[in-house]
Amino acid sequence: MHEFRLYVIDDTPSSKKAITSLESLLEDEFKGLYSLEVVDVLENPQLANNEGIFATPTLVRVVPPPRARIIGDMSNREKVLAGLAL
Amino acid sequence: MNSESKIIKVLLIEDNPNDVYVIGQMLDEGRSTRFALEHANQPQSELERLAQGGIDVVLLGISQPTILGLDYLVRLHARAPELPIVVLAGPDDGAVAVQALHRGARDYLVKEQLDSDSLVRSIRCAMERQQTLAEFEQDTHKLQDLLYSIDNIIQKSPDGIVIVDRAGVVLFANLAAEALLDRKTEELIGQMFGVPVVAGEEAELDIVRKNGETAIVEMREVEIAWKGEPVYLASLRDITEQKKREEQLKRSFSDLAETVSRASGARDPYMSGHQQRVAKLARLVGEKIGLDKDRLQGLYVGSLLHDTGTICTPESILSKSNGLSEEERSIIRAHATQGYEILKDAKLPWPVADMALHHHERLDGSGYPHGIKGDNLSLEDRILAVCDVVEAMSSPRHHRSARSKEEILKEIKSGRGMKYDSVVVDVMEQIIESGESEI
Repeated sequence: MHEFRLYVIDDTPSSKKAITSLESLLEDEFKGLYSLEVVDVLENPQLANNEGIFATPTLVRVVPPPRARIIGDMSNREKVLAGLAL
Repeated sequence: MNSESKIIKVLLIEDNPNDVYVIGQMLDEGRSTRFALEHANQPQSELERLAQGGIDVVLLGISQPTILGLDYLVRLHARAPELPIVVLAGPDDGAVAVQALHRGARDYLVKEQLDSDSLVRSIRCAMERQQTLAEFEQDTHKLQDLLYSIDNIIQKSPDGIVIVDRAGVVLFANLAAEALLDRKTEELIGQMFGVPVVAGEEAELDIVRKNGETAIVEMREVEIAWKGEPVYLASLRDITEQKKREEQLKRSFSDLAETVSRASGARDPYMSGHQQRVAKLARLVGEKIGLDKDRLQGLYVGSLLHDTGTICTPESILSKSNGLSEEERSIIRAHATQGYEILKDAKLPWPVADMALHHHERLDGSGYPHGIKGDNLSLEDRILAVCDVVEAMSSPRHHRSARSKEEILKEIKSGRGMKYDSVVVDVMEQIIESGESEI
């Protein structure tokens, strides 16, 4: 089971695009055996601060360890998977 | 002039007259090289002589009981660091001679073992070594200048530059990156930024500053080598103001489209307000389907202008209350193409012209003007098509009164998945049933 946390800001175009891209990519890749938690940095500043988020969209692979993190456009499947070392 | 034929000017600093004589003889015997020897036994005056220039190499006697020693060598080398110095030592001065090499001498020779060939060879080698060293130092300075320039360019670049390792940990950040990310360099170095991923040429990022303000940043990434390791360089550009201007421009487009839409509807009282009502309905459907802000705005503007081509339709045909002839129908149908022709050069940021062209097309190819099918019709086209039908049926026309809700629902449900997009029909049915819109 893979656990991911996506940090976004509000409903900005880049945030919406990241959510849509990731939902599709993760479903294709893990066939339901994953969880994707979307965290709005404006609503949960402490959570974002604890994670040390610089900018959004930032995706963190929480499980399995070690944590891996990518930042940017999540619509390129190969780059996303490579960046997360998957 | 090559080095073989050049006269090498030698300054001999030696207070033993015999040694001066012997060395002079040896240099004269040099077969492949010609020398011009200058000599003095007053160290201070020799330092002044060096300052005048014109000397190629210095021979410095340091054997006991000479008054000249390592301190003098150091002063000599400091005065003329570009000059090669060959030390002439006594048989018991081996340790001193080695120290001399550490203090700037290029070679040392033991006087008692000296012959013409070894002296000439030593002088030539010392000169070549000095030249190589000078070139190396020159190259080093150039490299340092270049590195300084590159560092200066990177630090003063208006774009933020962040270099991260393969795990996304920050190795370097310039001043602009500090400003953009609202953190000092020491707060960035060693921290996890993330591996930058870009799908096309650039990615858009959002940043929340410490004061709560948000900024929009355009990020580009490239893989480079950093201290021999492959890393990522992310360049960041603040496009917040640019985005605000774009939004302002889009709002202006919307305002202009509203005006044009009202003007084109004014010709026909029955059509007046049709485009505006379709636009509101389409925006509502788009919101429920989940279109983002930009697409919603494009859908709204495209819907406001979808019947622009009717300004080319004769008023007599538009307002005709009796049945239309086939020719008149064909003239009315031409409004889709005419609208496209009017709008296609407007360079609007949305597919507004295509929407005008396609709003009478149907999924099963039964529409006009081109009978386009299914996947070739965008979601905007599909939403507009249903909204146009629903609004038209709900309003009175010259030749008929407004249709009831039941009639409208019957029409779109009977065409669901064939003429009309299923998702759009389902959303529209929900809107009509709930009374959310003034249908």
